[in-house]
Amino acid sequence: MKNDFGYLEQSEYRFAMLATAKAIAIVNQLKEEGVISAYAVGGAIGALFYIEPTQTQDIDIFVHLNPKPGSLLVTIEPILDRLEELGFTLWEEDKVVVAGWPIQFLPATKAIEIEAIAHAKPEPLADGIVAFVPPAEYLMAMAIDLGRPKDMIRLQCFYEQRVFDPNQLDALLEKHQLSSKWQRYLSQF
Amino acid sequence: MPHQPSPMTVEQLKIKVLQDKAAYRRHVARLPVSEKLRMLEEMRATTLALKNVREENKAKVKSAWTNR
Repeated sequence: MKNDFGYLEQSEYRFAMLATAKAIAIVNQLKEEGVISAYAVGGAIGALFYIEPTQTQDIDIFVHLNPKPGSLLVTIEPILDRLEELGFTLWEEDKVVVAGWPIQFLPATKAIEIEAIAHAKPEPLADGIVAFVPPAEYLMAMAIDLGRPKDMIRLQCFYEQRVFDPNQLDALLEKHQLSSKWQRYLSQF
Repeated sequence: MPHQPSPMTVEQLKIKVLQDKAAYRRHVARLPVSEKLRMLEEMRATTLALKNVREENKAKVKSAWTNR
């Protein structure tokens, strides 16, 4: 049965497990195995938890990287090695393809990204899989920080849908010196 | 008797279109995450299919030019 907008109601969908859920399940496995200590889904997939779906070609995963014992350098090599062991050897540009999705593992280097990982909470994604997602205010702050055209589109969606706490966002932007950037963007919405 | 929409000026129609679009976007934003994910995967599949067709066509055009 179709709803007012011509889409099938939720109960009408009975397809196989979603590719995104499969890909996130593998990331969760890496977390359970200790290959990554914590992660947060960013980009369009992270935003999906708050706003309408927006076009994307990959899954952005922010990760905490700890240096190997006896080393000062951090590397995403252990993640890629484990994925290779699991049979994920296909690459698309600089991203490893998992369940059909190119995954970009982004080492959290900025304070805002590190905080976003710390505040990420497990949210049901689909097919019984959870994904660690930062609060909307963090996703917005990271988008404000990057300021690419696609971030602007996403920010406008967040703004129009009012799916964030303005006080929390203001405090976060103040803390990370992003307030003036946000004010500039706001004048364009 | 079929529903007859009330007459509108172009300006009123533009406003109505924008309002309907906004209502649809709000509706989609409130769908369960799994539903939104399905929509996103469909969008991605379409984009990839179009990209493949574009690349195939590009190759065809290129080969047609080189074989002249």
